[in-house]
Amino acid sequence: MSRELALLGLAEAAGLVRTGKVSPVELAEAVAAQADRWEPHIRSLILRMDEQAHARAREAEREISAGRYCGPLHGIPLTIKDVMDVAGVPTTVASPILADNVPAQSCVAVRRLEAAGAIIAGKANTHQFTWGGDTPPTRNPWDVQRIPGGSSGGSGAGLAACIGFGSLGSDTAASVRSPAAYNGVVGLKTTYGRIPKSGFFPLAWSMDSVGPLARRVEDVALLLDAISGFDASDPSAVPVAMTPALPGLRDGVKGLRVGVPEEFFWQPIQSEVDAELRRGLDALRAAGASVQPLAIRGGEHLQLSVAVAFVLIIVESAAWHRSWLVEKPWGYAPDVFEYISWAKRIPATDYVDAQRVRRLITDVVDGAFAEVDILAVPSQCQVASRLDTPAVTFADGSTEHRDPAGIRTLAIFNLTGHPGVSVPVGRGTTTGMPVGLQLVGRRGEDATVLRAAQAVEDALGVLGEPPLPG
Amino acid sequence: MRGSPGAVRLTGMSDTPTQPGVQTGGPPREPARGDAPHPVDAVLAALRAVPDSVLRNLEPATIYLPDPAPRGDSR
Repeated sequence: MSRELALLGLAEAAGLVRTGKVSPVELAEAVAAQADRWEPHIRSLILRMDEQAHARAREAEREISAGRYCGPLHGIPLTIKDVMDVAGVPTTVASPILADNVPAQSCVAVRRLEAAGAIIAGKANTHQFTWGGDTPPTRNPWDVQRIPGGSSGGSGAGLAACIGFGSLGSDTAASVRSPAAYNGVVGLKTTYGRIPKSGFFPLAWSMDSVGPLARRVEDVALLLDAISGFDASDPSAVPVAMTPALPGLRDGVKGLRVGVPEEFFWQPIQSEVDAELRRGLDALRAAGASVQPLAIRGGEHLQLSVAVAFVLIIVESAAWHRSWLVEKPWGYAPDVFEYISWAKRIPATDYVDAQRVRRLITDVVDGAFAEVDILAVPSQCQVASRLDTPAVTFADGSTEHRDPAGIRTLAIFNLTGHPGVSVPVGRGTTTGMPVGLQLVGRRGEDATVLRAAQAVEDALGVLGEPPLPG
Repeated sequence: MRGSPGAVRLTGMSDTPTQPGVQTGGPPREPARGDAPHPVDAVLAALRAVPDSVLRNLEPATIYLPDPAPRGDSR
């Protein structure tokens, strides 16, 4: 019974809790048992919080028994990427520099989850300082010899292994959508400014977004609605109300205009990825959306997005880390230290020019949304790489390092602020690895992208739990 | 590596698993004479290849502020 409970979606589990068929204690125990099964293989959690989760679950059980049920997150175990403060446990961002960094209060997003009754079951691993796409030592549960993506790799891998019913990650260039795609779960990069970032460790202020992940679209919508909303403590928070995602989630996509920009986003690509993504487009078409090829005016400028993203992230993160790089170099993994140190080679004028090109890219993407409601593009053009193979090989024979390949179709929307969701469309027929379709909408229209993702999920289903390794 | 101006090849990523919370190692060695071109130079080259005619009328982007009344959901 324990394992069956762990495999449920968040909303399904919530329904059982609400009707008294399952207690929060049973859910917490099911998640802990699932972590016992999987963690030796995938190491998705930096910190397990079994005791705290169990205590909180007993409390939730008493509250619900006393008639004080406070909604669908009440008594539901979640994980939180170890870049966000959870009161009383360390926020390490995977660096020993922060091993003793224990916040007194949770970040705004986590406080909202806790107020809704959610139970924090663990801190999910992150690529150190959120600066990468491998998230060592976390492994991909679909093939433990492959990377989980990153930097929210612990969130993605853990959810695929059914450790928790949802997770909060962060996304600066790919970091929610990449692990969502590679691990076969749903991940939303929210509209920039929709979720307050106070109590969150930054990578690049002008591109960072908090984003929910879960195994089902409905569950992501539920988490999004729980954490959305302005908070004056975050200077980049958007001071306007945005449409909640859950109420219209199943209203369908009839008449929705979906543009498929074939250039840049779709080439080069691996054949097995392309085939699965086409199934996603067919699902949208069958559900009544108008799915058409789209030639984006000025689209030739979009190829600059990877370079612009790297310059902005390098410089903004170097500004944050400047003193630590000198005083505490021992606290950095070599790859992270090297990436941030590149800032020494980038003059201020190049940073400003990157921001000028960012404006150009933003104008081009906004122009596309004058013609369509949704852009449908790959979340990744490749399946998750093997740990020992940093180069990605595409169908046309070209190769690329997995880091720039991993942000090619994603970082652009961190530059522009648009919301994008990665929804699973299947598993590649060559490797058996998950493939994700990215659906992007206008700023503020996170609800629309989730509604489109729900139509895809309704047609193609969810992937379920991978087989446990050997 | 692809040939487009936006395509950049990055090196130096660690593939060595470590314990969570102890991804460490400190600084890599300083570049030496004869080393291959630094990866960030490819990034900057792509950016610097944008012609003045394109840049001339562009002000730097600012951190995103929304339209006064976002539509919320496309119907």
